[in-house]
Amino acid sequence: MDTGSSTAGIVVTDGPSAAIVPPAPVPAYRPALPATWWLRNRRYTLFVLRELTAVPITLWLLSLLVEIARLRGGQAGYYAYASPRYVIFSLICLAFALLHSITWLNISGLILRVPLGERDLDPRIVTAANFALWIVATIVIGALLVLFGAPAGA
Amino acid sequence: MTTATATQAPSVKLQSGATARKGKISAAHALWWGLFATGGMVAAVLLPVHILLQGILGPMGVLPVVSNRYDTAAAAVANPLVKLYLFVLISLPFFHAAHRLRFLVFELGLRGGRMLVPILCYGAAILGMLAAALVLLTVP
Repeated sequence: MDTGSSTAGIVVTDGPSAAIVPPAPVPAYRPALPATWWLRNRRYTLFVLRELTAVPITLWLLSLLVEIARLRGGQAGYYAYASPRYVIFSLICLAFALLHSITWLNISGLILRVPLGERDLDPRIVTAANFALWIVATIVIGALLVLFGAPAGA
Repeated sequence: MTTATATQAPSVKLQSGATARKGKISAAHALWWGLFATGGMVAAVLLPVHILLQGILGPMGVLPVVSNRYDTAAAAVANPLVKLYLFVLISLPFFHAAHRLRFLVFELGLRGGRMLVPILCYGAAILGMLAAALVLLTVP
């Protein structure tokens, strides 16, 4: 028997070989992926949490936009957030934002290729540079946010 | 949506020495991914300090943050460079979230809506960007 035949898959329905017609194709078994597949182990859960960090980030930025919009109300209409509820909301958002920052900067070395001739720069160097950038940006922006918080003439 | 097609897919030599064939390029996907990546960088590098100061330490009164008082906040936002910075800080992560949610919704089980989900996600991000632009341009 020619097992390497290129006629594999062709079904013969009459003639001398009709007796060896294979049965109708059996549908392939496709295991249903449960909607809770990501709860199965810690790595999957962390992945979904990482992707979900986008939601608190968006919500907090919307709250910042609302606060900026209040400036249109003038001296009487503007008030900064001061309630404990907002602080707790910001704490939760900060936790997710930090998860985003750490996971994002960790893979940034792999995403941002720096070609040096035939090979690339070691991704760990790019990652370290990005973390350093994060620290510097935090210090600079933090300083600016506080320095410009002192009322003029104070 | 335009796609760039080659008569034969170009091949790429990888660092490991193997050769790979590039797939067809989708300009639309490149756009959304580019916005996703830039938004992710903005959110990763710039956002946490804003949440810490303007969301936690400022409202608690621990530090005199610029957004605590009207006069300092108005003076800061009046500066066009500050407006531009805030526009970038707020708008780009919207596109990051839109791209992420588009694919997360698929991974969590929703297999339909192949046209609707991207339209809703990127449409919402565009609306957010327009809202940010409107607010920043109308604040004195």
